[in-house]
Amino acid sequence: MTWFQLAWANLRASPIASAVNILLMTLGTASIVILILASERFTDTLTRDARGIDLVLGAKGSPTQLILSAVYHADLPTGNISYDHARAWANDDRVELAAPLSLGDSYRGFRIVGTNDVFLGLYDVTVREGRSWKRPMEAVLGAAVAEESGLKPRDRFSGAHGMSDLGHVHAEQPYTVVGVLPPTNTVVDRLILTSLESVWDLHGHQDHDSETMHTAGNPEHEEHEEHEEHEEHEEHEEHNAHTNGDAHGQEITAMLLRYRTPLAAMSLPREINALGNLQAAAPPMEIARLLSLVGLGLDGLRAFAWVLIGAACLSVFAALYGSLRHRRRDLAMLRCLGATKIEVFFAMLSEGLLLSMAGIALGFSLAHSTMILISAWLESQRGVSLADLYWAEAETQLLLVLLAVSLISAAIPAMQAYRTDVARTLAETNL
Amino acid sequence: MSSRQEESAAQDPNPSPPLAVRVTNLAFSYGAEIVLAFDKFELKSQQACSIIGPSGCGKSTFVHLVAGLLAPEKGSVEVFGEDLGSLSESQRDRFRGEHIGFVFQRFHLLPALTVMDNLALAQKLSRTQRDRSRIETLLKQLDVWELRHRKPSDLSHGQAQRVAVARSLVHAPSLVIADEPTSALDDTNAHQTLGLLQQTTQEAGAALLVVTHDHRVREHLATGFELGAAK
Repeated sequence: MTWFQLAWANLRASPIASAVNILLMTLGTASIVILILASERFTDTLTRDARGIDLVLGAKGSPTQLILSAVYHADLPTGNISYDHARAWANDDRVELAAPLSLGDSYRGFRIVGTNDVFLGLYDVTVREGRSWKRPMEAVLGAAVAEESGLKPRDRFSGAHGMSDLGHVHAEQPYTVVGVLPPTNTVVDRLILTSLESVWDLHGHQDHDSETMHTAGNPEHEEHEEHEEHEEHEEHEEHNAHTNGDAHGQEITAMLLRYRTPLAAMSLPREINALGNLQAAAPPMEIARLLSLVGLGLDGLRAFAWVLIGAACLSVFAALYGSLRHRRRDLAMLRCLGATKIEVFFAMLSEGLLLSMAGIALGFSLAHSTMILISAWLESQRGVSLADLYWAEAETQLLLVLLAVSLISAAIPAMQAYRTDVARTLAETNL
Repeated sequence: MSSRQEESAAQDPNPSPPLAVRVTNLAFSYGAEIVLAFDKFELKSQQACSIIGPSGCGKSTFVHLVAGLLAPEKGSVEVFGEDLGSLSESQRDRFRGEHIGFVFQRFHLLPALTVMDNLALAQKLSRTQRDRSRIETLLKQLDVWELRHRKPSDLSHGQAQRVAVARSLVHAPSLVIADEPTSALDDTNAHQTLGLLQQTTQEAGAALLVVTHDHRVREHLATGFELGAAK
């Protein structure tokens, strides 16, 4: 018979009250832990998807919408912009990399993105299976797209207008899969990449420009592309000859830029926005704005979760304090049997801590299990993997706070038990 | 055991049997009022003795002083040669756990624990080594071994009393104190209870101190002492 067994036996003697106490603590703890994990992972995901992208050029409108549509592919585009105007900025000395984006179609909910190889460079990813797209209507699939659709190189599929399968299907011009990307755990996993020309072709811009984006300060890239183009089949050469015409008048949806130096952040966005025909939005600023908006909601939920934990601690306190009255006799008996005051204190304390810690342990388990389920669901629905069972630093702080609060709520009744007047209690209860 | 037998046992020609309890010039008060004043009291090892007195005469206070639950304000209480007044409160707790067993009118078995666990806890708190065989022997001796997995609430009054007696002896104490063990019992049950206490403590080699206002105890325990009256 140990003190732990005694505490456990006492808790089992009043199962409903103990269960309610544990449940309250479990729910409070789980709520806060879920909020911590969700907000951390939300921030992680936002930051990860925008890593390497310093500025986004797009049509005038909401900068948040521009970032959401062009970086996270989670909103409708703000409109189209002139490829020439965008390219002028892409050739600026302060820009290291620039990837044009042309959006509009999707396949089974996966967005089809017309772009060039620079896009892969921005996300630091190379084709794992097959090769990159070279000609119009060739497509490279993100890892999640390949897995969920079952498509593999040489398979064909037709894009649909808009973001749902209900849009007009371009059945007359199917894409051919030429490559699959490795998993990156970013939004790229859920994208279908193709050339700008593919998107222009499908949307009636026959007069397109097949040149990949010129990237200022990256002559090797240009040479490489030229070299590859010369190696293409004759048919492709003809196609290029046909399309390598005037690029004036072409439109894209957005342009992703990476600065050559951080100093560019001081001047470039201001200059672009001042000219009036384009909008420049910086992902870090929009992420901060989004997080502050989401943060307001999270703060409310967090306050509610703390109320739950407060209620749980009060409940543990009330249960122990209330039980003192009818357990004075038992405590006195423990002293008669040889227990010291401090042992009686710890017996009572361990009972309260057992209740709280059971609730806290269950709360953490419930929260992490819930996050695994949410993660599995997100992965199946959106291909975003959050599955790692990591322990956030804030959780350690939370655990320490919870243990301290539990200790205090159990220590007060334990102190009362410590002060039990054994002689008087025995005299009163042996009548 | 009759009082005559007890007296004759007390006069057994043992040269100097060690004293279980020796109380000298004891006084204790709650506030200004002195509730207990005692010149001398002695109880020899392995002997049985009763202290009888009306309610409020200080019997319980006396028990608590002998058990070390209270510290004397004046005089001394020695239990097996240990002056309890010289011990700290926690030392007295440990001494009590090791050397003294209790039987109360209401038994005070811990309701959340089984019979077995009640006895195991008493052994633990006495700081003696856990001895399951002693628990088994006692419960069998008192005919409650079959009830070892039951909670106190599932026991009859008589069964609970036997368990309480077993608990008081489970750590092999040298002194058992019974506080009002017969007060709520009819004659037959009071007789049985006193017989049980005497028998089990005698077999365990422990001294027995019964404190009560129940005058029927006199018929069983010879070395009676009436609190507040001349010895």
